[in-house]
Amino acid sequence: MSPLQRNSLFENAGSVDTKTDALEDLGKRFPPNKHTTNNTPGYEQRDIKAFSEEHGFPSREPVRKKGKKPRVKARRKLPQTGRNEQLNIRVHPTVKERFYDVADEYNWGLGETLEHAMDALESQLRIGLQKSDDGVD
Amino acid sequence: MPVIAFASPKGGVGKTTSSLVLATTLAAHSKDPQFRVVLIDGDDNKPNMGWAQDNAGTAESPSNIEVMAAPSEATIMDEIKAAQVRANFVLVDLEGAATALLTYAITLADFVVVPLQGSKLDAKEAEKIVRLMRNQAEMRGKPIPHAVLFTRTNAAIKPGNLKHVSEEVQRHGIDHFEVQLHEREPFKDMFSFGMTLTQLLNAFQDEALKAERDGLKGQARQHTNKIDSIQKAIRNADNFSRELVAKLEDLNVKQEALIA
Repeated sequence: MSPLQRNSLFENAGSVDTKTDALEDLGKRFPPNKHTTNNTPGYEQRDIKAFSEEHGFPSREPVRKKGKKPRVKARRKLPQTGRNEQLNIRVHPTVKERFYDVADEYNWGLGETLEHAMDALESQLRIGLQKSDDGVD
Repeated sequence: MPVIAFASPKGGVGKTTSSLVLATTLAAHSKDPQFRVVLIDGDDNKPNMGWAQDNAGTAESPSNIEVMAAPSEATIMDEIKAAQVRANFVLVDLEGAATALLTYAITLADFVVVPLQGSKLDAKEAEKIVRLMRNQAEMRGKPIPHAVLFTRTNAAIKPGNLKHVSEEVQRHGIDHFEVQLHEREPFKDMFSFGMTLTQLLNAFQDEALKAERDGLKGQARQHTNKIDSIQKAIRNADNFSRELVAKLEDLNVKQEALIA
């Protein structure tokens, strides 16, 4: 198109668009909203989701798996007892549960529970030894 | 104020191109310094976001276009409503897949553009979304205005397939744009150069002048051809945008008549 163009002798001649060009004054004709509107009355976001899935337009966002989380018992914070050595041992899960259950039941610390367990074990073993010395099985 | 969604459950039909063409055309035509277009990029590959990044480094980059990535399904409706307060037009380019994000966006849309290529397979996919909108209209209590936009068409030839599909669209009572968005190199150039059509035109006009000044006749001729093709693309973009704005205004008139 040449930059040199004669002006039309008649107003709006030559183009139907110049009369009311749809692309003129867009700012005035389509002003921004003054405030956010709730223009989806009558139904909730979850209704839209259900409707969407029903029509084959499912959610693609990761869904958190439903189901019970494994129960984690709240453990008490261990008191300062001077028990400074750590004992890491691999045990069967049920033994671990029993151990914690005893600690919780008597309101003992874990170190304390182990000490009680050792005392009980040693006394049990002593009784066993005595019994075998006495000739009783 | 108006929310215009570009939706089709199929990829590659021209959603991104037509949304960027509309955003840049509306932005180019407004002389109001407060005028703003927000373009929400809901495509997984974020092509419009990529364009915006490239465009930020170009000469005369338009300041009245804001491109943002689509948020999650849970927040997209709030984001659209927030964008309506800061922008004159909110455009939402949606991913080419049947997902809930699309349903959320079209729930708030004042108009949905359904880009379609002239093939039977595309038409089948488009029908899916038209059905969704018709059913949703019942839930919403008012229709979701929409129209099919034939894209990537040839300006000179109308192939049999396109003719058939366009007849089918009309037979099913689906509104369509009279204007077609043709397959034009400058529409692709917008993405490869990260420019608007107006920026492309200015850039190639400069190049043509330079080539002429340097006596590079062949190059100057190439640039002149390119300029011609950009001008055609601009006219095509203007006509599409004009028809869309006219459709929006028709709806406004009808709504006001209903209220009165």
